[in-house]
Amino acid sequence: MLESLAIGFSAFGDPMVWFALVFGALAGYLIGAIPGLGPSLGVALLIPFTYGVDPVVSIVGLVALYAAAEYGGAITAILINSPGTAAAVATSWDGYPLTQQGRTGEALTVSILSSGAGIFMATLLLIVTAVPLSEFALRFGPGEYFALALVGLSLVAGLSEGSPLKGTVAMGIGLALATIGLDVQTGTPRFTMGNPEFFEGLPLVPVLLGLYALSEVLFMIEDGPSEKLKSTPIGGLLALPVKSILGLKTAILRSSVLGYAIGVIPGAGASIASFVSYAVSKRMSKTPETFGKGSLEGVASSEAANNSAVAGALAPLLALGIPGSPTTAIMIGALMVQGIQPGPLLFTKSPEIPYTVFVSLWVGVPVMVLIGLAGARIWAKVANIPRPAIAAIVAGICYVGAYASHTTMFPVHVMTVFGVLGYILRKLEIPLAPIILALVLGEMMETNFRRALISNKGEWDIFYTSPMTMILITIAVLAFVLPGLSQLRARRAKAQAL
Amino acid sequence: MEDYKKALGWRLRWDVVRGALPVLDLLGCAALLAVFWQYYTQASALPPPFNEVDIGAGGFPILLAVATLIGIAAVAIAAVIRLLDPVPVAWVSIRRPLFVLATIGLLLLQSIYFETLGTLPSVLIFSILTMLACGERRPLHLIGVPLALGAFIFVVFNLALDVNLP
Repeated sequence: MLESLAIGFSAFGDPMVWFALVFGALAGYLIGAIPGLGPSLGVALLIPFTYGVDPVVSIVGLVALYAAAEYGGAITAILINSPGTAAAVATSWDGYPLTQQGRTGEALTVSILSSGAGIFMATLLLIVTAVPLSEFALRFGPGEYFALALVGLSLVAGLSEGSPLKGTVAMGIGLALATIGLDVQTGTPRFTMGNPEFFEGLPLVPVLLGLYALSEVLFMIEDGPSEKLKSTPIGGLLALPVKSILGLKTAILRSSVLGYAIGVIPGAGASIASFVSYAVSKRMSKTPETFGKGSLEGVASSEAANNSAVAGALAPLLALGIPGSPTTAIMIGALMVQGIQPGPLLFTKSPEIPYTVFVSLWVGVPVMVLIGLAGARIWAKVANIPRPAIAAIVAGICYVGAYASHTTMFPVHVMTVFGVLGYILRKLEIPLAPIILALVLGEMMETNFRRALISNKGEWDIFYTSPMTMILITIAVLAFVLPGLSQLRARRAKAQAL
Repeated sequence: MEDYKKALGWRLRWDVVRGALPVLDLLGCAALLAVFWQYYTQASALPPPFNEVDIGAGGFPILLAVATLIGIAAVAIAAVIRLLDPVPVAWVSIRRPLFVLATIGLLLLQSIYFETLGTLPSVLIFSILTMLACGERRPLHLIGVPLALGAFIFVVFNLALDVNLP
């Protein structure tokens, strides 16, 4: 492992890797600090900039953006009570009261330092768990692999915001989209409408750009030229006594571990990690009454957790090839563009990729802390960039990025259709994450499903006689059923209350 | 209790279009049922497998279509239950609907004329129009942002990444 880590460190001998790290971090802060834009949109928009770039350089830039967007989300949450990302909502509960008390600098310092500490510790956990997980996954047969992908999808569909039923339909839409093109095993064209451009399947990057970025443009049009947000002057950055920061170490450590563990679960993500960690810290705190009124412990817990969830979400992506969040699903698309297939074989075939990711998370910590603290005043102003300008920039990059992916007009048409479709689906509260995940995992799922049947001479008992497959399929079924039941119970209680 | 039921359906004002989510769910389900029924029909028409232990090119899509059709039916049933339920329904609203429609038109036009116009003219023209649709009226912004975006795209994609843009 140490030798492999050395490979990761050696990648930083290339100035381009440093450039990608800094560029990704700056772009991430920018995206994270703008309310409404999140890491998913940021990673999707960054993909066109990775065409023709070395895979190691690309992945460092993408990971830096992902992590920095979570850092950046806290800045506007603290300054103007407008969380840049959903994961920073819990940060605003204490961050904004601190700003109102004139302690903005303290809140920002704690948020940035705990984010850094969270990601540093979570990366340790990532290294310790991802490698054995990938070795374990090497023993999986096609039946287990199919069941594993189903678990990933069902967790994401079940845990999606809104109705789990809609999550299931979204999963069906994504899997159906993944079947478009030539059948991998027989070469039969499927659902191509006779158009040869569909033979290779739907181009992934334009679909991602359409669903996540172009649909957001339509939401910005709805918002119109929003009013300027009032920001408070930032004073006292780094003025916090070291003793106060050290006093938060238990909360940061606990939230980092919790955030990582939640981040590993597909579908759970950074938002749930920050809410759960905040609640746990409040329960275990010596001063729970200060939570919600400007507690530094609350800010530290939320930020350490949502950033460590970033490293957690990378574990199933790198070790199993199963993305655990929409952002990692988009990242898998970016890796596929580079000809890299994440999964257990990645650690033996291209060890430089996962180990550079690990090292970049560590190396990225001081870079991001520095950028975060030095640029705090700038990031605070980012939320005031006029919406019309952002809409025009996002749309422009989408069109150029889609065209550049194949240098034909076909991906541009696909992206436009998916942009409008994404807007309609979001209006209908159909989550996009299961669609993306299913689209990414669809081919692998079908191939393994058919391989499992063929290897068992067409007998379906392969899906319930293997203990591992049975456990995984049971988890998948529960992931669909349990959230639905709990929603039904909540609705009944609401109806009875009326 | 009766008020919200009376208010169900569409209400058009100049600045916002609203619709009850369960009603929209039913419309969405109808559209998805049609799409997935077509998908099922096409999957059933795919050639049978060469190998008798395989399920063939259409096997997985057929299973998927059946599962998704059941899922869509469940969403539709849930929508009907929500309409009949005493719990108030959720609403979906589209603000500035005319501008949203205009922007959808702009996006479609850009996807048609992107290559014909060329990257930079297309980016410049459609950026200005998108900003106008988004409510920007300051001349300096309307000129400055598209020019800066065009320059950024030229430097990054043409010069740095050497992408062959039209």
